[in-house]
Amino acid sequence: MTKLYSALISSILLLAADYAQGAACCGGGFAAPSLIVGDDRAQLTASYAYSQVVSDVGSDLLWRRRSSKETTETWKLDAAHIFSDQWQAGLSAPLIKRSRAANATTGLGDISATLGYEFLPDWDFNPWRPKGIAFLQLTAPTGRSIAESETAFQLDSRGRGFWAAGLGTMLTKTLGNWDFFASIDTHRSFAKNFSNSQAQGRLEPGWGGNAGGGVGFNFSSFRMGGSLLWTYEDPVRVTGTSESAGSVQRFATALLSASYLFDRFWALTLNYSDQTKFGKPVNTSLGRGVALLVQRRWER
Amino acid sequence: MKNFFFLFLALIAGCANPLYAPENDPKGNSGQGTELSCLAQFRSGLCVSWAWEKLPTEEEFGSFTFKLYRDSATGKILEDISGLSVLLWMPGMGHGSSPITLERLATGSYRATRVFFTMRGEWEIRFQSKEGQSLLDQAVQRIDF
Repeated sequence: MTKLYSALISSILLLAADYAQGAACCGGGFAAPSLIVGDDRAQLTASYAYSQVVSDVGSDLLWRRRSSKETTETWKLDAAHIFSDQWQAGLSAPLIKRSRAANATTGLGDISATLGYEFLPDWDFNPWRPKGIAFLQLTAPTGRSIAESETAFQLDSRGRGFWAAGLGTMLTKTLGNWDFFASIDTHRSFAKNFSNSQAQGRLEPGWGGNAGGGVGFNFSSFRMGGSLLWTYEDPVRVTGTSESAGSVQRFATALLSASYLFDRFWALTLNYSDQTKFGKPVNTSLGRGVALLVQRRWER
Repeated sequence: MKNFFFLFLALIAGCANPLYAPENDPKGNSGQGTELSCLAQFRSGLCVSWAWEKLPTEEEFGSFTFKLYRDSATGKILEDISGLSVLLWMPGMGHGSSPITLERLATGSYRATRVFFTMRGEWEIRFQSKEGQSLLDQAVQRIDF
């Protein structure tokens, strides 16, 4: 049972980040950490996510329905490996295809690397104390920012496009057939110069963060669960040929998931996500989507 | 069980409550195309008169023509401006749209094509005079798309 929940909790976090890419209108989503939350030595996760923008929300908090189809497909590989009892390292690399009105571009999203430390081990299977993992995360701007876009419909913007460093923690616990997790992280994105054929200047982002939690019910080799992840980003100040103070970005991603552990080392997860149901979104595009994830784990 | 009840309450309290914006008519922002009217103005006093040729949609590019002119004792005189570019900008969100293509039709007269607004909302058409990466002057037209 522990194997099942630990494999699947990490899956849910990874997919929540994919759905956050639905906000690519306004700078994309921030990468989720690639972490082993169970007792495994290594894990490799391959996922495919498909999401469609259904509404845009401006800085005036007003929602505007989309009448046209804009989709994002994400193929992602996440790998994580233990390198001592409590330390682990992970890498996440997404390939993103954005499509709108018969136009599409495909390329790398933002790549991230994670260093994790299990600060609250659960060696004695304490009935109440959770297991806790802290992590540092470094994100590379391999997905272009919206300010640097050159193509029609800005489809070549596939990430936030900033170097960023983050710090966070995740707590997990199983109680009988139920499992729970909570996570929180903050990150700082760093300023950079930008230019495209029409504008030049400097982008000055700030702090951002995610906070979320989830619950799952496990029976036999199946798990059904749900989670909610809130995301916040400071305004991106633009100086140069076009000045702007920017606006905060905020949205919440709800996920329902069904998982199956089809042997000791392989797990399959199907997720449905919706960014229109919770929170008070601002300055973002909201999407709905589905995702399929396959995970291979190696025991210690 | 009590904990689940409070968790459920917290989730309900956090439910999104969408307030939808009314439909805008971007046509209402532009001129008629035949007469010169000062719809936006550079700091130098140069006026911009513009009109849609084709309204953009959520899936198709639009185009508009515009003229740059200055009022004088003898009437309205069309003139060019150095380093002219046109940028679409969403001030509330702090980002632009995909690049516009400019075509000079005659002195002080231009056509902008590949005009597209990434999403509905308040936009600005920024008529800019630039020298390299420096902005020299600018006229701004607000658009409700």
